[in-house]
Amino acid sequence: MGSYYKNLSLWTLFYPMIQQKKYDKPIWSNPWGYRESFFIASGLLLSGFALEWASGGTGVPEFTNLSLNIAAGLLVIFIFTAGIFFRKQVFILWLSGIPAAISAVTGITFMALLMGLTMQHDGSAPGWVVQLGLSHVTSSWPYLLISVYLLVVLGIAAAKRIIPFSTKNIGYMLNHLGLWIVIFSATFGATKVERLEMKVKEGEIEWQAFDKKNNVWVEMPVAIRLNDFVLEQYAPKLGIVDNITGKILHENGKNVMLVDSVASGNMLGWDIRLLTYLEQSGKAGETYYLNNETGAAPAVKAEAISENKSDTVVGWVSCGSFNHSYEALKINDQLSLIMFYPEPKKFLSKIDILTPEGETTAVELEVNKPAKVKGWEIYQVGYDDQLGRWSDTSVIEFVRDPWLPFVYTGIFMMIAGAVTLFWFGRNNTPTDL
Amino acid sequence: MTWINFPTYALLTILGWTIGILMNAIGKSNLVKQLGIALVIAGQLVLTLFLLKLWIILDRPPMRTLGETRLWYSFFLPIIGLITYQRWKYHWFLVYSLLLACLFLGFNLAYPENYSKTLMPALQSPWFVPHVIVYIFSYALLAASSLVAIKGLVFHYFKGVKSGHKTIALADNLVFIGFAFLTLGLLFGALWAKEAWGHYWTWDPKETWAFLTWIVYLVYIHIRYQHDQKELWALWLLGLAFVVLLVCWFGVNYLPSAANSVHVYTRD
Ligand code: HEM
Repeated sequence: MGSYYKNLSLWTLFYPMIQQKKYDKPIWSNPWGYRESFFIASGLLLSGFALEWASGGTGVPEFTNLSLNIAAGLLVIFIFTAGIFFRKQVFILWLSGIPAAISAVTGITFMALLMGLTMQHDGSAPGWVVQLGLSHVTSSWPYLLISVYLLVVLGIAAAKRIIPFSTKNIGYMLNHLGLWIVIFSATFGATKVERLEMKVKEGEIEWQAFDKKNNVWVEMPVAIRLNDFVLEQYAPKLGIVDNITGKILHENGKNVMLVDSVASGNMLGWDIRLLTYLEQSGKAGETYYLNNETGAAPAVKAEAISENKSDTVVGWVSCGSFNHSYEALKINDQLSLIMFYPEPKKFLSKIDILTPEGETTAVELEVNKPAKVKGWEIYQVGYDDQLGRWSDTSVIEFVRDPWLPFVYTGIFMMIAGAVTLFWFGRNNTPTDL
Repeated sequence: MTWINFPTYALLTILGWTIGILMNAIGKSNLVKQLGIALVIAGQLVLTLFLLKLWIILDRPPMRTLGETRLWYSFFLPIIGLITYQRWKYHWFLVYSLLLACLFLGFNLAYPENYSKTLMPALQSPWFVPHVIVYIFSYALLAASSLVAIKGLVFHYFKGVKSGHKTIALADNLVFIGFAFLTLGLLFGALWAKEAWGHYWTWDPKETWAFLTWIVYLVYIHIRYQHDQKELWALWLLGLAFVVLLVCWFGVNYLPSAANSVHVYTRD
């Protein structure tokens, strides 16, 4: 068939690549190569999708702790025995070689691609999407099967090079063993991760948190007392809204101006000048005045001048709050000037962590600054959005991940591995540089 | 707030780069060639000055929006070009990287962006700067490796020149260093995510695409290890890898799966 296809331009493009491949070995005869590897990887994926379909798209069931530990143990034993005692076996040679590795990585890539293209955990996904597991890829059967395949291949490839020990292999070990540890502990650890949400009010003590996954309230080993919740905000931003459609005409942030030191700006051809800015205000009749009661919203007196200077509109704009109504400034039939709610700059909870033994630890909980207590990490996640800066409730999250130290070990090995990669580069670089 | 004085800085930078590279290419004496390189560096310094000023004025790292990341590409590409030029004497490569850097600057000139000072609390972390810098540096290196691959492919198919070891060796070097940084970016991101959101990896769409990008280069490295001779395969793979990288870089913003992503650049 060669000579016919060779005349097609597309074929001539790829021919030199395929030409090098000689299929003189019947498939499934030893040693296995790319064809066998890709057959096996696709077979695993197909079986996975079949299993998922048969189970009605419910995903991999939760294993019991015992069966999970047994599975993890068997996997490790198999990898080490294969990699150390049977590495010369033709089957193990294949299972720890580049063709198998590339087929496994391609399989994972395929699943990741599905995940990257479909919305995950989307309640409105069509039935067949759910039944194939595409709405919950990471807990689906094909994902599990291909992950185990990858773990086996990567594991044996790494184990093979442990003995005899050689310093030349350090970079290789850091990368491969590190990655293996990360995937292994992340996969098996995923079922053990606990995330619980606690809402606590200022001045009150709370010791119960909600487990969204299992839909139950859980009593925590420590109690939290919220002494104060603090929210700092940026100055508000002004924008333009279409009067008829109600759409904000932001044009990727272009028609948005921060009420800052800037006293003027241009939006959609209108010159906007800020005359007065009240960080917190109350309203009396048609004007606003400085006021710092609860719910006092920012307000701006602004002047809008049209492009040809023929129209000038002056008036107040305010984003309002939970107890003040907002106010827009109509600048013509089409457009109005509006104020967005100020964005949070920083929020933190001043809390006391109370243990049953009677110890009290004062902590300032902030985004990016979690606290640690009794194997739990505590995160600041939110507050009462309705009340904003007057919120007297803080939402915090308790997270526990027993496998985290292993994941971190793997991550730090990989960081070291990346440094060796950078430092030594490709060691078999051709010499005619 | 708009790009204060950006046109002035950008034009000065572009001017320095263009004249410098021309002097370096056409100049007969060594002195003129060296002066050319000095001019390129001068252009680079002007851009550095602008970035510093911007950082101070904004009172936050200017790494939040696509426009701001483009500035960093313009910043890193010439550096990579200069180092590669010094180390391996690839003149064409310096020209390419400067052209690309000019393109990014030109894009920002043509579509000026409003600066916003606001930075959400999750982004206020010591991890922000290393994570983004390492990523952009790696993207710039990998983009450069794809340029090399495209050159190799064009020469192969249109000029009948065998790509030769030299081209692929340069691509390999760029990929190895770029991949090392890509890995660091991914891992820093994971460590940061743990700190900010309580978990190191959540398969957020941006994370998924970052993973896909990482994987394609991983495959490249392994194919190169096993099949040293199949250089054409490798060149095509690098071309493909660049497409995935582009999706990850800004395509993600337009994917339906990314509607709730925390990584999508501000759309205020
Ligand atoms: C952090 C990620 C990874 C990096 C940086 C990396 C890097 C490398 C490098 C540089 C080599 C060449 C070894 C040498 O020069 O001695 C190699 C070989 C190899 N890698 Fe990876 N790799 C990674 C992940 C993987 C994964 C995920 C797999 C498999 C699923 C894998 C399987 C292999 C295999 C089978 C070899 C050949 C080993 C041999 O023949 O002894 N690697 N890798």
